[in-house]
Amino acid sequence: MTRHLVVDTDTASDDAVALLMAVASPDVVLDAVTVVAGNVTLDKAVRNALFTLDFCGAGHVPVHAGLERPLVRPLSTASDVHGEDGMGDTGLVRAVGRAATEHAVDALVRLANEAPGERELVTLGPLTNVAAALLRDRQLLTKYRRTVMMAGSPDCVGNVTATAEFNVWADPEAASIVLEAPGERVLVGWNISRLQAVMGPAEHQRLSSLATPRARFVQEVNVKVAEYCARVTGLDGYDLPDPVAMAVALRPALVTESERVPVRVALGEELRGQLVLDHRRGAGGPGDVEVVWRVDEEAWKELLFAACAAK
Amino acid sequence: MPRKIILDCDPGHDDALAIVLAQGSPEIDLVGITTVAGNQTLDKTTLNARRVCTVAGITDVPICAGCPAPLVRPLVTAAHIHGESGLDGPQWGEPQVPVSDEHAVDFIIRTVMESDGDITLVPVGPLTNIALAMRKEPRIVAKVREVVLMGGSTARGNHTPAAEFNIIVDPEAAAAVFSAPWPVTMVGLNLTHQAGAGPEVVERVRALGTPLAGTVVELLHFFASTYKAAEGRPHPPVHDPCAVARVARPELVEVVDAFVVVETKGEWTSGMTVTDLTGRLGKAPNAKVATVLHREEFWDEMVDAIAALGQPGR
Repeated sequence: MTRHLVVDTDTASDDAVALLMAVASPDVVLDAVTVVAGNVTLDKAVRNALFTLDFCGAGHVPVHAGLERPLVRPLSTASDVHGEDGMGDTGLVRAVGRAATEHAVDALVRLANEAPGERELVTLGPLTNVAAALLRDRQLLTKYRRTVMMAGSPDCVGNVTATAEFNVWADPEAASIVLEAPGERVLVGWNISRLQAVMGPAEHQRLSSLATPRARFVQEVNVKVAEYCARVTGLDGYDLPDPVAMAVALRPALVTESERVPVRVALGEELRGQLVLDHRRGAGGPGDVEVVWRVDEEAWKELLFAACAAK
Repeated sequence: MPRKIILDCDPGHDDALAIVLAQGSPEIDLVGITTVAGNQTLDKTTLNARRVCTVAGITDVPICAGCPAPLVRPLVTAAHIHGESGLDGPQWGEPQVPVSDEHAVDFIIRTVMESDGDITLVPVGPLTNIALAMRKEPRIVAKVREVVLMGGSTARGNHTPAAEFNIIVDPEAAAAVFSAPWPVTMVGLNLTHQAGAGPEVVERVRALGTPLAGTVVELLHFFASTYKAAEGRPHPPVHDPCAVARVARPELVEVVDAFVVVETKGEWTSGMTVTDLTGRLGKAPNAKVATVLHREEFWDEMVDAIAALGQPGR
């Protein structure tokens, strides 16, 4: 059976790789891409999404521009991680095509209501668009089959502050709205990326040996991330948070360990964006989120290499 | 030229009077009514807007429902002031006007963006719809003529000692509205408390003898009872029409320029509109702040509007 995906993204390096994986997945149709400000400003993220889809031969997929700043806070981007253009500053990105006229929030609401319970949502950026849609319809996520989110760091090792992951930190109020909304939600945090999605020398070698445009694309858009990892997060190479979340969305069986738990977000300044998992007895309930603790690392990377192997 | 306004409201007794004044004043062209959760839940405030329009014979103004809850915080309502229905007092029949399919946020965006820059937003409830519209379409900020809102206070609050109800329900939305670079006028409690509906006002309305006037008298009667119980005020202040009056006849509401910021983090003071009337903070003014109501003329305007809406059935 063909599955239908909607992807919300602040398209920069790793988002682009995740989009490539979605497009390459034979049993999945990418129905729409909604774009939000985050890694880069909204206009750059839209440009990157359009370019990436075109590069993968999916220029027909509609791209909907969404909110250009968080709900409450000023915009903070991550150009220090992804480069000024969000794609490694290698001059790769060209302006291709144009965004659909429909706003991302409207698209998220429409796509859910057109086929309740059928489409799946994957979020790769700050949750501003999804939260804005939820402010209009609190039941929105119950109309998606499930929502897989690259969001937060459940083990409280952060990439933007000591304890916070960027997507949640950038718009913690939006993340809070999404984590408190009803609906089947799966959280793939930065812990998975840090521990199981690092592209080290061996993976680098593997991609190089593929020698396809897609493999080169993955390497090229992540050159700035590799520098950031060397400088800040101390990883041996670059990590791919959005692609591993996308892998979980595409292949739920990749998850080897997870738990259902209530997840909240710290909104105060000191711990802004830190996830708060409540393990007390009696705390759980129907609003629990499936938090992923481990994936099959070899298998998800094979999925990535397979997506890159296509000419 | 009548001023084009969108009235964003959460009816609510004083919201009902704001709707009547907006439609009944010759100085105002009411292009739409949008509803938000506040005084009561969204389903109730939307139903109430339809009830008021039905009784007032307002059939040509779209009513669009908006956000069911604040941006970030859980919804707080004001049943102790407005009753369980949000509009307790009169016996309401079935509303005869529909609610639009269009979401309030989209109606605001579309109306403003299609306009010649001549739309004034008059929010008299929590600012959730306005803030979400700003976020969804930031260009409305430059296109809106001005925002004249009922909310806040230069001094004390009503829902808490520091905060007025509309602001405390959604302080994050209010902070967004006050910090955006559009002309904002704050018609706060310090102004609206000058608009108490005393017995002489009630008698003037009653004397109009129309069904709408009868409904307004019943609304004011209920409003007086809850305000007396809640705040010990002899005459209930009709907050929301004061903002409409400022647009209809600016000379009725005197203003001063001041820097206003919404406290969103205070332990005891969240939702406070911190108003720097003396320039202590050295910040450039970002709002006009209403200070003095010309009470007699205000009530003349209000009574004239009730009379102007004639005698539609109820």
